[in-house]
Amino acid sequence: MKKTFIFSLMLFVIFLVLPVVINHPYYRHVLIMMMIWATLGVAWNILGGFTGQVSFGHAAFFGVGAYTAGLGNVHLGLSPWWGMLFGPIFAALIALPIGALTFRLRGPYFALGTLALGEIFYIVFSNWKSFTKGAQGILIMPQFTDKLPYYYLALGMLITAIVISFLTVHSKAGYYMVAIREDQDSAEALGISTARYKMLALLLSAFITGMAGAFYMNYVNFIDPAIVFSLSDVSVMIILVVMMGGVATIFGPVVGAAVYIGLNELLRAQLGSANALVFGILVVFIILFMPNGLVGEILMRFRKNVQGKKRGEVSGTFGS
Amino acid sequence: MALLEVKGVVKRFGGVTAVNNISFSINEGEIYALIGPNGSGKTTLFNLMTGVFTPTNGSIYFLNQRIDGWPTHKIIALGMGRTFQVVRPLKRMTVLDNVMVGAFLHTGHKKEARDLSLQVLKETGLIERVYDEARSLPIALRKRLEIARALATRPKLILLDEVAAGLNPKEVEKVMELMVEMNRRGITIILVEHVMKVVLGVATRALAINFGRPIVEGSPYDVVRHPEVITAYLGERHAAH
Amino acid sequence: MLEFLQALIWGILLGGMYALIAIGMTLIMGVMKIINLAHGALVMVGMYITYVLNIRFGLDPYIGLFIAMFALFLLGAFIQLLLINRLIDVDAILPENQVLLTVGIMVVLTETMRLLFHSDYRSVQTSYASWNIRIGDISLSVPMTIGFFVALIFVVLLHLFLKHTHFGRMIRATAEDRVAAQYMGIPPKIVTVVTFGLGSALAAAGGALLLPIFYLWPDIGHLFTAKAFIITILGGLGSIVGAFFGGLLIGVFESLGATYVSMGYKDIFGLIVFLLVLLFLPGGLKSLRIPVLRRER
Repeated sequence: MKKTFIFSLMLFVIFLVLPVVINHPYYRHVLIMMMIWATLGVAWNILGGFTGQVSFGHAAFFGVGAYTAGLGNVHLGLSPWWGMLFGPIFAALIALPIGALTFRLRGPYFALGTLALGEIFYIVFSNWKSFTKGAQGILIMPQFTDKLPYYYLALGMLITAIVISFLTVHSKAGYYMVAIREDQDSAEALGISTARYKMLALLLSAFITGMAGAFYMNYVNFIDPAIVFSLSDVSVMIILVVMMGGVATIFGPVVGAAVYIGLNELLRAQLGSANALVFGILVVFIILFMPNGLVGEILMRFRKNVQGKKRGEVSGTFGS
Repeated sequence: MALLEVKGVVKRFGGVTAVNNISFSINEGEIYALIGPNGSGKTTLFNLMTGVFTPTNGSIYFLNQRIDGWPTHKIIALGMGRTFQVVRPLKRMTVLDNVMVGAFLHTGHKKEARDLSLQVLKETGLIERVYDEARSLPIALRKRLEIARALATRPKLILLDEVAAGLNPKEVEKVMELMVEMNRRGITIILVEHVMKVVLGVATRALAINFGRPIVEGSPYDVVRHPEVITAYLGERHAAH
Repeated sequence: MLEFLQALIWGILLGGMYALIAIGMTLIMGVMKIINLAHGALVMVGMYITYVLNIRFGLDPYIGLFIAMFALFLLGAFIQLLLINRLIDVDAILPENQVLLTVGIMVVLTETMRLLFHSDYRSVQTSYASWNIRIGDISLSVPMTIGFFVALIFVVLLHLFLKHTHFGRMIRATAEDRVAAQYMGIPPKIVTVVTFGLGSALAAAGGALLLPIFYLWPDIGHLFTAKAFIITILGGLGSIVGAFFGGLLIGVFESLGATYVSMGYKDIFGLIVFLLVLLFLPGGLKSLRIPVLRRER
């Protein structure tokens, strides 16, 4: 645990200072996008990697967060930054009925149920033109001209997400969530109210995802339902990002996001629109040969070399 | 005052009646054996007691509260623990973490949970393997882990489902010792068992069932020798003796 | 009333073709128990093959269909053999690895087609595309009607294949209990490879039949994947008949929804039905079947 803490602290300092070194707006943009995706991945992982409930509908929370920020500005004249507070709240609110409906379903059926619900949100937001402006989308005035404040806000958001994730996982709730993932019936037989803890994981996950959505609205200044409620570009992509980096690890999603955005940008420069194809091939490759993601594989290799643990060290299940 | 009362419980699944009017009551401190051939309804009874199923008819009382219809976790929290016939360790968690999940039932603090877990693991003889992943354990130790985990929830009543199955004689004896020790510390036990050595060795009372119906209840020795019980297990010819 | 009938019939005809796509999926899901999110992409590839055969070689889509089926059979078999089969022995924290592999495959297929054909909407021009037959006051679109009957024929053929041929029986055995089937000498690898090929071929057929009616672009796969799922779950996993009627139902819902509510919201009805089925009738339409034999013990 100590090692992780020092490592994280070092990473934090590096990221804190990075924009001083990297001052070209394009590269700052890339870093900001990485942090948004890392936040999304960390959030999803609380429900998916740690509690074992694989949601294919997280775009619903992202979109609700983004639209809260945007619509608050368009309809009520509020600063879109209020979205950073209300976005997560509304995302958590819709998580309640979504969870109530889907948690009765297990495994792949849960995945399909969340997929359907995510799509329903997409259709509703596309068609309810009077409220959401439909496919036309929402346009707001940029709040800052420089990328720097966005960078630090994104960093703050990511760190918040990581801290929430870390604290949850290492608490009693975290043990319960992993137990639910490993064997839901055994978990019930140990006195765990699986319904309650699944909902808790979902609420935390939705909350952070909504926050990322609100930030996204503030950063890119234009959203429409096809962008923020997209099944393939948001919901599925979040899962792929987490899978690549390492399911059920704290830093896996961060690595996955870095790879995803980094690869996309790098490849786009080299190959134009073939970058998506290369990404797809990479996903197939990683799933076949590194099923626990990049970080997962590293941890497993590391664990094989270090047998025996110090007292109080939490098992590899929790990653670090 | 009985710890557990099962009153006229019936359970039907579509056209099949798995449990057909079974009643019994168990007092604190007993070790109660439930025996019967495969398919006689024993595990269904366990599932009814722990809230996995709801009785079609009848009622179940635990600690003077009517618990049929309660969700499983609520019954467990009240003080009932159980093991599963086919063991279900939380595979990717360590032995210690497995037991801690159980220990968290009565505390929110990691340190408390860990201390309790280590103690339970010492008592169940698993202390050497605390940091190993549960899936690396052989079957005998997995069964003990299953018991340890249930023990960590500090049950007043524990349901042991065929914990001696598939174990060699030495391992069976260890399990019997564990049961006696648990009981000595105040835990009431209901066990489903095919291994008669265990039934005759530790049980204070027994109930034999077949086709979901009770055959006979009494001291383990008497129950085991009852002609209908022998018929149920071994067939007509053997009962003649 | 006329409008209702018209919408109803359109829905049935459309549903028949949707059903053909879904039948491929239900077959795959029934046998391999995997969720194949690349199914729609396979449909899309089949459509592009049929499109190219039409544009380059002047082949009518109803003929190109067979070539596309053959090509997709090979593609599907290849995917199962080299990729999905590998995952059976892999132990990962989340069993959804298989699903995500199919997502990866979906991305590869979609992006490859995008590279070759770009994202422009394509369509085939056939002489009969806008022909209509009139029966009384109802007008039936010719491509829709032909498509429906061709789909129906394929469904019947598949049903007969599964019921009465040796290989069909092997497939059904593997679907019921893979391990038991193995013990009876049925090689799971061959069965799964052929099944995936067959499912893909049917998907291609469905796509080819829809080609005269839909615009074609790489992302159309997502649409078909979603529909195939809804129909598969609605009909009941592994049930060919269920998928057929499920397809008809979804086609009708869509058509009525588009006519009486709005074009934009038409897809939502299928999704809501899907959720309701998932929650309240998990066995799908298949589970509503009245058992022919009742044995009381």
